[in-house]
Amino acid sequence: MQPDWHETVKGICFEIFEQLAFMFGEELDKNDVQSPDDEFIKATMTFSGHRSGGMDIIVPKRLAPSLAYNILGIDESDPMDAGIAEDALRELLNTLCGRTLPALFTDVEVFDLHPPEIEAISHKKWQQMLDHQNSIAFVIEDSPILINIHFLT
Amino acid sequence: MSFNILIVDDSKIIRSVIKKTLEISGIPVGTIFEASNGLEGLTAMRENWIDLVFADINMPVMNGLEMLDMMAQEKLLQKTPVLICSTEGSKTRIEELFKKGVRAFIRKPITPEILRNVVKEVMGDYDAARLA
Repeated sequence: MQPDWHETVKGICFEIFEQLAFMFGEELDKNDVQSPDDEFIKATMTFSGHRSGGMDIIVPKRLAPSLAYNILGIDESDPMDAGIAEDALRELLNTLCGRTLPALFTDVEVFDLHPPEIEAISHKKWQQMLDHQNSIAFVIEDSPILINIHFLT
Repeated sequence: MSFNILIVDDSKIIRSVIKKTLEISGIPVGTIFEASNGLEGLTAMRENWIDLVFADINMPVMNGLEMLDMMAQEKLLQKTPVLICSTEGSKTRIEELFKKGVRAFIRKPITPEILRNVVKEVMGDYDAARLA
């Protein structure tokens, strides 16, 4: 795996947010990351194959509907089906994971990606993830985004 | 002449994006059917005339690869063109898909331009083959 993988992953995140949701990322020093939000959504997916592990993304709960509106290309005044906001976050993680693994290893190795799952988390858990050594932080539309990748094998 | 299209993806938002893109693409679209996994996709194919299948790979219940294997065993479904839309980045896996008869591969995220061009290419070939 690449030694500078944090930068590789961050670059992929910026690219995918832009291509999928027309949202633009900003660099942020991890020590400066703060959030006034109390509610966050965490999407988690596992992978197996060449290496096993998982990837998570945590966003403030208020960002998920904007993400869905942008992906669908509709106005925020338009009605949106229940569950679409969470589905948007799942799809975002699925795309990020699918792009990240070949970039960290090679495009010859095969990985099986398993469907992402969603859970609501508190500010305390968000802080714990932020403090984790493997987490990557950046800002999208004034919202802090945390990404975590871990390998089991 | 319009095409009936089946979208097999566990993500409702991606099904909506593909559907919307097809509707504005200028491609003559008939009925668009939706399925959230390979098993539901097979049922839709058995019950309806489908001209083109869009399928994801990683799905619960039955994934895209398993669905392709099942289609290969059924005479009526063997020749239905399948276009894979996936985040898959492994060349090994993509080669495996083409060996299974997949007609085209689009790597997510999907852009309307790429989707439109690939569909026109695949359906152009398919239409010519049907008329021959």
